[in-house]
Amino acid sequence: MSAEPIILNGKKLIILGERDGVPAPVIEQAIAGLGGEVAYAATQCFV
Amino acid sequence: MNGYRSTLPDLPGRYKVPSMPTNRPVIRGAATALAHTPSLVRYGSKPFREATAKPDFLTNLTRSLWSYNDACRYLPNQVFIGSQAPARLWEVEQPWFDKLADADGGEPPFGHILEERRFLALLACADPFKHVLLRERFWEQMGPVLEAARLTAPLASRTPALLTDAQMDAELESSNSLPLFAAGEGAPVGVVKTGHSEDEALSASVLLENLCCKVSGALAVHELLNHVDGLGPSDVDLVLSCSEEAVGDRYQRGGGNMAKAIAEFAGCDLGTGIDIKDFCAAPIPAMVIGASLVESGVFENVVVVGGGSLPKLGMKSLYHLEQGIPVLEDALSAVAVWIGRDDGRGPTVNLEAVGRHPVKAGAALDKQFRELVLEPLRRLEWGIDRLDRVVTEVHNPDITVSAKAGDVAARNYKMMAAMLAMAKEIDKSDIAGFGRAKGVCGYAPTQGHIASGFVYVPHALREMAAGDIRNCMLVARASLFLGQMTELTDGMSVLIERNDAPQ
Repeated sequence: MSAEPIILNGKKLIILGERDGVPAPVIEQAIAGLGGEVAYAATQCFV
Repeated sequence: MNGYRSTLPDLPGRYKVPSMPTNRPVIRGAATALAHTPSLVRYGSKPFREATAKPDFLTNLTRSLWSYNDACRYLPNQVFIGSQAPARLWEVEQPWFDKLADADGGEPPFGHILEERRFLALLACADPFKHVLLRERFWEQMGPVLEAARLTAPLASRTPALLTDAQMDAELESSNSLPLFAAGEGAPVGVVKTGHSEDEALSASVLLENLCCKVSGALAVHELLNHVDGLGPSDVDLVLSCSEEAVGDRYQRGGGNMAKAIAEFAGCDLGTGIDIKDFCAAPIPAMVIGASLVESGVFENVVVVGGGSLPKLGMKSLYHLEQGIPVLEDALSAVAVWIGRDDGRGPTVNLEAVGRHPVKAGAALDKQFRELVLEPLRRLEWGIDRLDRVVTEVHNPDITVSAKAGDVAARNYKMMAAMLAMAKEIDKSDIAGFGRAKGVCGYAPTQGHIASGFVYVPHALREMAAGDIRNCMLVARASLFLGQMTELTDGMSVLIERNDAPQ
């Protein structure tokens, strides 16, 4: 688990969430503090 | 507070249980309408964009569309109109599109499947501004057909604008017009003109979309009127439209009021109308508002109606064409529900158990279901055993699985069950079987507001009348983030109970 901040540091992130699964804001919350910059986040609706 | 316990520990006791007078609102009837409109699939949002980019798309699309007879023999459509029970779908292996079978015959219990040419003719009848023009020869055929049917005769009293063949040819040359095709007809049977050359909110495509909603919604209202006792057109006090369209002009896109347009077209001459908007969740807030207005005595008879969504026709057509299967999103679907005063028979709308999704609950699906399903049950001090049926988005998996979007209903029940297991309402070993025990297999067209629990109301009424279930919770969710004003979702749930259920 300790490797995750190292992986995301300096990275630009594209987050695609899904309304019936894990929405983008939840993914953003989950990775907050792990480094990296969210360049784009969106939730999709497939129905 | 009736034993209410918040599911969010930092927001204790935020809902008050309203004080209920004794006159309860009940659901006195419900009906459906399905218009099989394969030739309108090209004007769905996705097919229209694809056809613009790829000239051969329409050829492939047209080859993959079903006939009216095929649509009538499709099991999910038979469930939609009540000729089959939803439970029948558990018994037939998916996919269902390759297992067409004749229904039992007789009048469909909830509503008919309308053939495309009748629907196209009604589009013109529903258009007071005469932007929809029909070919004279076509109306000569269809006018008598509409007049002869109990369902369509009341809607065909207005003679539409007609064109000769030469006039039609000239009109079709306009780049701002949309031709109306019909299966089996060589030339376009009509045309939709733009409503204003400088107003995108009144373009031909927007007008067509809105008219499709208006006509399908009015058909559902007339199916309702034809299926119930005690409600004539002039008895309807208020129509609430929970449809997905946006009627308006460039200064007020989405201004409304589709409900009033449907009321007028359906002949509800003493009624008025209001639109309720909440993306796909709108039917449940509309039912709650309608029931509240009946409860309060403001209105006696409220009809909640959801008309069909043209943009969603062919939404998954690219996937269906890739796999060589029929383009299954070929029908406009509509539902109408009558909420009135307690007649001692109709299922009650329990306004003490309206589930809602507060802003702070966030977007995670498990938190949505905690608020929409668990919290109302705990407010009533009900265990999950007391709930017989819970219905959320019952999209037809034939459509979504083949489009790599999975089985929406099954996925929702799995997540709901997992949430209930976390809350110690069910055992973990019951998660897998929860959907079959309490839920419904998906069968509705992918027209989100219809596929929400709303579509199940007629089945719920029938199951309660037969004594199969005591109650049913309808759960709808809305993807508000699609409008890019908030990243939130929304949702609402409502509990309906057999009239003789203990209070």
